Amino acid sequence: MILTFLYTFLFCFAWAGQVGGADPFTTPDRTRNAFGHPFPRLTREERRTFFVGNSFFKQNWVRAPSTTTARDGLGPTFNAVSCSACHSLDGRGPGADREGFPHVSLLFRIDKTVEYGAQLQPLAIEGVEREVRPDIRFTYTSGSFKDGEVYVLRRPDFTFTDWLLGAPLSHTRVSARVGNQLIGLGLLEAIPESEILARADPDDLNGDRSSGRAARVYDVKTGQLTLGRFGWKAEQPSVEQQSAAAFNGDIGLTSSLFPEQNCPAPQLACQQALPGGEPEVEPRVLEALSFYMRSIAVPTPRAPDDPDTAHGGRIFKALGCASCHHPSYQVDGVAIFPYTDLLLHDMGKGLADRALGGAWLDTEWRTPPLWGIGLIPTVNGHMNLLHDGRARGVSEAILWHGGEALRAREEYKRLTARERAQLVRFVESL
Amino acid sequence: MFTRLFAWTLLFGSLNAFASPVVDTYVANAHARYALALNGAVEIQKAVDAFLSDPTDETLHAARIAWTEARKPYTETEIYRFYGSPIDNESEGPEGLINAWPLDESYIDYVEGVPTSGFIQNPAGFPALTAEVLRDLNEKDGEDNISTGYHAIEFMLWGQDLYADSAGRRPVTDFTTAPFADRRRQYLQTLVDMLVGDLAWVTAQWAPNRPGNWADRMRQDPRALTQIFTGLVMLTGSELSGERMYVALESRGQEDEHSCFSDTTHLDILHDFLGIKNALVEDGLLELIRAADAAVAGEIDDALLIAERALRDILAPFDQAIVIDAGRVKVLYAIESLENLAEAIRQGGFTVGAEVH
Repeated sequence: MILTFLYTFLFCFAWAGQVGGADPFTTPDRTRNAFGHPFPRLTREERRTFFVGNSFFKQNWVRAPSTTTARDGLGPTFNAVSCSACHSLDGRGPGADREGFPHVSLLFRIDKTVEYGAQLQPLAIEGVEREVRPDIRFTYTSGSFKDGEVYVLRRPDFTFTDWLLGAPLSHTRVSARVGNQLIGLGLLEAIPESEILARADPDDLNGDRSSGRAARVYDVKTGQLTLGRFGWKAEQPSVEQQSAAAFNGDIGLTSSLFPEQNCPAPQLACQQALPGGEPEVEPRVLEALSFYMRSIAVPTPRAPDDPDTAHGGRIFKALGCASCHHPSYQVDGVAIFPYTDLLLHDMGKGLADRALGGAWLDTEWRTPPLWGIGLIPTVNGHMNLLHDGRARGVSEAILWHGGEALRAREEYKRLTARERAQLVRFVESL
Repeated sequence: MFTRLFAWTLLFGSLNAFASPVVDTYVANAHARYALALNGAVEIQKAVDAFLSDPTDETLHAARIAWTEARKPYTETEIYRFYGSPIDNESEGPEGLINAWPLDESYIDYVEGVPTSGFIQNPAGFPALTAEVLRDLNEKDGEDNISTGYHAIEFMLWGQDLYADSAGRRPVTDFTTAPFADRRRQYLQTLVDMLVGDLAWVTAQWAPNRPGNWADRMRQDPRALTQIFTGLVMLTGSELSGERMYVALESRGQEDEHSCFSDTTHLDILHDFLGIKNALVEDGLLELIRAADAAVAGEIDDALLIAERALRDILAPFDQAIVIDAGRVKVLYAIESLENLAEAIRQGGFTVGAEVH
């Protein structure tokens, strides 16, 4: 009887605690739909727009002409036929998860060339030829933690054959990128620019070995240079431009922001293919899709009160992880916890993009948000992290850190197995 | 603060004690309703067996009837979604194999304008259309790439609906003399066998007296009511009124309607609603709410009546209802009535300690 009372009391306490904290931006869902919920604070009309955006996110685009005029215009060359191909259930693609022809969730940016533009397209509609055939081979390297435990890292190396118009110059830089989970993007967009800039320290004047450079990128709508927030290199200023760029670069769709078909001049068959409207992504579709992208709720932290998780949190701070993975901001008077500074950091040669000829280039990456990553296995059935999916879990991702994060990585290697597990548990709980 | 907490404690302790018989009823009825859905799938299997052993217009018609009838008990089980119950279980949950949509039919077979499309017509790439192969193909490289489940079966039985005055008209010859007829037969057979197998798995998870069964776990879970209300609110206010109705209304396109090949979307919608009503009325949730707050229960009563009338008033077929003005008004009204119902159910959940956002 006493136990029953006690139990009821505890249960009520937990529940009463939630009443006051009904959060406008989070979802308690822990299932494979965890990345698919609208912000709870959306109005009824906004929720309807959210569902419309979601339908365009999931659906396959088809080649023009087609009876489904709202959904035609695929390609002519492309990487995927839908948003959800690379961001299944609004989650993360597996990226470089196997050798051979890459999973659809991986794309390849290159230094812009006359023949291929700025992105390589491994697929094309009937009657048009793809630009290239990418291939993955893994190189394995090993190392050990201070306690002697051995780890193995997997680096994907990319080779390209069947170039449609011949291979570009050997110093052309290639960058593989995987489709990321899409939670809380509207919140990242809403962080005041001044707060992000205040954390930038490009010359490391404060001497914490973490520089942090704010990306200045071109805003297509305003024609101005502005702060970049989205993409692996913070190359896009807004959710809308990121979405329109992905439509254009990945699926081959024109929109009001990117009205040009992604067909470099020498690719005649691509140039001559029928468009699916001008633009192919109608303005109302881009609007609904962008709204959807901005409005996906963030899963609430899992087991924040667990002692191991809490200790992992202390290690996270002690190692300096939080200096780039900045925990929290205020958005509309509500605290959000994305664990990013949205700045570019030198991550060392290990993660650097390479030129076709093999030289190391471009070591900078945007700090990716950490919220929700512990649910990737539930939503997407894998835990492949970093920009190309090379890291099989949080620990490997930490071990790939170099450059400004070299010292943090080395300190991670000096932790005991228990402490390492606690740190990983903390990151997976966010 | 302490006073408030203490009040919650008293209120809650008592409600919790009342809740458990309702949860008992809910899980027992869930098992019974999945058994009905499974029975429907077995009827599809029998009818498809009969059709494939003697493909005629009559046996095809009988298979279509079996499919249409089987959808009713299945859609009535969709209230058990959205909270991690067996159908959505994180590692094995077969919902995506059973009821995924919308479906890009050109991923499967020929479509208007693309006579060669689909894996059925690609024996070099996919020599055998086994359950294993189809499982791999389902949702591969895109959520639209659906290769299994009710809607794939529907596409095989009806084909594309290109007609204002009827559902799809796939000819029997697609399974007899047309190119790749043997592949279509093999595919259809595999599909119905998979559907029966997957639904049998879900039904078994809810069966009592089985070690580790879901029904017992739910009965013992202090968050059971929250889960129950989450399923109801999500289905009513998001999946049904939003994804399945508003999106189609907005796009005016049948590719956004749930059962577009058979023109039976209006039945899916109605039986999803009847599932919601069943849980509230038959399983005792509404009476539980009434004991806590009669006014809120009264609002649910009203919302149920209005929604049912609005849903039964939707013109059929749905692909026409979302195009003509007289139909669109009724669909929008039905959507609003479901949104109201969802809000009323959410409020009802609050009164019994089930916090659904």
